[in-house]
Amino acid sequence: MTKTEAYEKVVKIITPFTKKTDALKTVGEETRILEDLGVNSARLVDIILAFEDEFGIAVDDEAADRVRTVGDAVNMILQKAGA
Amino acid sequence: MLSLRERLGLRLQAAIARCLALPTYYLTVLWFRRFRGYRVPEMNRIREAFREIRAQGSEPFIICANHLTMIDSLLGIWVLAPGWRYFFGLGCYPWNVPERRHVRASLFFRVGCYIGKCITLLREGPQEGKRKVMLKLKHLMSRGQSLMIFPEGGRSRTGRINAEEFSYGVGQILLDTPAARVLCLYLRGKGQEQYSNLPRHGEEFYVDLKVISPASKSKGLRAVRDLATQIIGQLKAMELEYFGMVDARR
Repeated sequence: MTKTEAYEKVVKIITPFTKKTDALKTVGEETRILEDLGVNSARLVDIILAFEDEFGIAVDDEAADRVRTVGDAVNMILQKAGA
Repeated sequence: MLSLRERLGLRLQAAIARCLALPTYYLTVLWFRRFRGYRVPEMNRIREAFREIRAQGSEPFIICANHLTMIDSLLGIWVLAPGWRYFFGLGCYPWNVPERRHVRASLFFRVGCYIGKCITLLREGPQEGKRKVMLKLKHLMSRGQSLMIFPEGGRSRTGRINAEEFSYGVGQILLDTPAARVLCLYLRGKGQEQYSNLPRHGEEFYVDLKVISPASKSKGLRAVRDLATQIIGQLKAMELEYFGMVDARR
């Protein structure tokens, strides 16, 4: 899996949980999931679990806590998936 | 882990809350009854039910309540037991976790929350702050202290429990303290249609209690979500039961 593929899947997973939909037009690796996209913290748990299902990985609490931006999510997934 | 200073701070707060439990409780009840005209027709039945539930074990409670007004925790404490019982059995006098922004609004709220056993939380704040609050709650529950929490994570904006979008915090607390007993409390003013700051004047309250044992075969975040979902599901079922009775009476 390439970084681009992972990135596209991550954005696709996050999109339905996003309250600030305008921010999706300019989404990038630096975009903060909670603050910039308006995702609340409970939905971030849903997003992390969706990553687990989509990428076949296990995300522990510490790794989940470190996910602040879209780029953090992509890097964590690539690391866990061993890509 | 909590520092010694943090643990002592919690013990000091609990001690002050205990010293002031009787005057704060009865002044609040005076305000409820005389100035707001609140009534709970089934108060005796509810208190008896809670007394029986308490007698079934010594583990602390996570009291999970629906949330419609800013004073739901006070109402919950009032309906569950008389003030003297909180004074003598402080373990059942629950801690609360209000939103920090609301508490900071005035000195009255800050003092009231401190003596009312509150630990404030910035819900959309940094994870580090939330982790610290979770550590405090875990510490308190390990010492037999109970907790009242609103699993929805805020007041029900539509006046009904939103079983689709809710906070998972209660799941994490339960995962951290698996011995705790989960007491679901459904409390609603009979004229309460939407969320509000206060129930209306002269409000009459419906109250229902149920002890449940949420469980999950999953681990980590998935277990957290499972446990929170089961609790919200129970509160939703209690709400449906209430509205079923209301509809049947029409």
